Amino acid sequence: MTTILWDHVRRWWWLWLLSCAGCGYIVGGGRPLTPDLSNAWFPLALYLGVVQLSMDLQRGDVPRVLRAMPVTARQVGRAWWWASVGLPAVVMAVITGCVFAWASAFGSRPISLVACFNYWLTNALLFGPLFYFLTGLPPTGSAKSGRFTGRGCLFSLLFVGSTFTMLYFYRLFPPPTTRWKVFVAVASLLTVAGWFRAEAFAREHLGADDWRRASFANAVRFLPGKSTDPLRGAEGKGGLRFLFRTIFDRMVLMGLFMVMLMGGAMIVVQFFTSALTGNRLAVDTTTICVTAQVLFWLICWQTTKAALHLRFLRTLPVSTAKLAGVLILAPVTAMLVVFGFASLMFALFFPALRVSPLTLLQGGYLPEIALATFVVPLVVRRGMDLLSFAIVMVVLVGGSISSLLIKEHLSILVSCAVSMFFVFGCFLLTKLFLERSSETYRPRKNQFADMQWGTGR
Amino acid sequence: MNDQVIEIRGLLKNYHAVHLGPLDLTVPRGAIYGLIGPNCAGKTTTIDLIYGMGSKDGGEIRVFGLDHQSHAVEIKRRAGYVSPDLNFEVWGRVGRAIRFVRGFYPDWDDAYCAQLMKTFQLDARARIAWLSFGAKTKLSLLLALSHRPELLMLDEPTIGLDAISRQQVFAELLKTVEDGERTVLISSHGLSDIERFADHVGMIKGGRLQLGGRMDEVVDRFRLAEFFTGNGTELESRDGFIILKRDENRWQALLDHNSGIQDWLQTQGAQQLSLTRLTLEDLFVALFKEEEPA
Repeated sequence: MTTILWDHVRRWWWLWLLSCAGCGYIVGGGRPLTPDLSNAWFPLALYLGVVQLSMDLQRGDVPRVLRAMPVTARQVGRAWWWASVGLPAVVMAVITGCVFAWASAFGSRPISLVACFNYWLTNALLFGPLFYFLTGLPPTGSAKSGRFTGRGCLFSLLFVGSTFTMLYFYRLFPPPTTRWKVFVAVASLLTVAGWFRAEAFAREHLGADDWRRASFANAVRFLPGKSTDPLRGAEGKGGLRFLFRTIFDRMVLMGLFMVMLMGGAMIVVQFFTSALTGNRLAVDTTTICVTAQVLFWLICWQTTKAALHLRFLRTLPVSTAKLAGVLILAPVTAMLVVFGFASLMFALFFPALRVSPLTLLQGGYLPEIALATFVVPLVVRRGMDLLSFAIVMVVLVGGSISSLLIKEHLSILVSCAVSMFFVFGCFLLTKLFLERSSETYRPRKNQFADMQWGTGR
Repeated sequence: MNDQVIEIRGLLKNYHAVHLGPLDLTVPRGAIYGLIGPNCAGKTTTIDLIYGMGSKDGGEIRVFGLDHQSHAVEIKRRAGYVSPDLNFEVWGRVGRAIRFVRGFYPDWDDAYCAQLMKTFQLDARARIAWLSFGAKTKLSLLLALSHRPELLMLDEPTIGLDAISRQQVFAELLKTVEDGERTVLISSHGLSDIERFADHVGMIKGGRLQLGGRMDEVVDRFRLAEFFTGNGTELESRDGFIILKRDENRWQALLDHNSGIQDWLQTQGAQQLSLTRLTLEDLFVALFKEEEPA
């Protein structure tokens, strides 16, 4: 168990370092400590906990290797629990203690030990529930193997909803109120439940249940009496139009789901904040724009699925210009559709905001769509490895901030022209990479799924 | 009509550990051409470049007499490509992958496709993610064969296949070329399969073609020689004579019949010379394995 735990820390040391530095900055350095201690470090500390584990699970390498190691599922599960819950809590206790001691010794207002403990406990107790929700998420690839069940949907909602709620956490559960005590009790229960659920969780990710199911399901098709027209299911027009539709449908469905999820979460959070604190949550067009940037990137990531099959796509009789055109145009059109839907939804549910397509255009939506298109040439050139992920994160944060600047300084016409120019640039880059880069066709890892570029070598 | 389906002249490409070329290679019409070589020799890079995956640093590639870049779409319409690196999972089910690919080929043969599905035991409704590795390769082969291509390029097509599936694959390949008009270029590490099914072979090492020609001619040209020499005799490898192993006065070497090296060997005092015919695999190992120390 300790080997797995230290291996985890050794592989993610850089993210631990960054997160610890960030958390230390938030606790003491970023803003002067306030008596209500509302500057929570948890959103950053999330990267110490479940984020690392979920990335390992999505890539699939770690479970695959562990499957062959002489360890039990219980040992693996508990090691994962320690890596995501126990160790981050201990590390954050040290950081919080040090910063608070420093603040008490040299700051203007000393902070009591109880307040310090409550602050750490409130933040640290969020690790446990998140780990528990993670254990309920369906394993990567289970959607295509038919195991994406109602329970998986529920836990996905709980996981996304709880991370979103954390931004407003201190307003909802200020210590040491009764609400906070209820939170501590529930979170403690879920933390303990996560410890016991860890073994089953590890078994799901290490086990070969999917393959057994899959082999059985495929074998059943060849039983006597099951034979039908062998080409049934292959009817309809194919070719480039089909490729466009395949990418586009996936993106629009995913985009609409995310809009509904985010909108729904906003409504729920707004409802609870009003009910519990009497204050209405401030949602404005800027918040929507920043959230939309994340959404657009998520949509564009769907291109990765097609871009991972470039070797196959390039064996087909289609020019690089057409292929690059489809890879660029599909996400752009999908984002415009989702954008239209989102503006309608916000106009319907947040009438006080006076959101319309025009106000959102002024809010910098088009450049955000254009900027997200950058994912396509990046993925075509590099695949989705850690560096690509880091580049995406930098551009994503930059894009969110720049949308605020665009809102103030650029007219709609200018931002329209800039966006079209940028999209065209992405198209040219994609075409160039398709034609010239051998790197594009070589087996590489996908950060966000367990499939690889190549499987044969 | 051009008798060479693929003509490669002075091809150059540097890509990470692979330094390809200058490579010259021709594949005659109607041939099953086996391209073999050790890992990192440049086989996949060569096939990729023919198919326009990445750009060459120099040289010329012509397929059906056409430039491989300016006529890429036309060439691909007349050719098929199979590799275990091809991944169809984005299409979900076998039928959707077929539907997608069929849209690109006006001369797609539905009847032949259905027949291949039966032969390869593939079902249009089966999920691609659930298929075994071998079944995925069969799907790749089905998609490449169903438009009856004039040229079929296969990069490690039999990797991961059981013996029966390998035979099915080669049986289909033989059917493909039986009219003498269709050509197959196959890169593989399964040397016994290549020897059995290919009629031409090219051995590539360090990015250059070391040996090429008709399979029977290439294999017949070399013999494994075992002989003894007197004390103190020192021999070194030279053109047509590659020392494989030396155990004091006992030698093992590869001889090229065409180079007249046998007479030279007699003059060097070789005694009890015995010559053994080689298989393609023996020849491959002998040519590409470094000399063992005494």
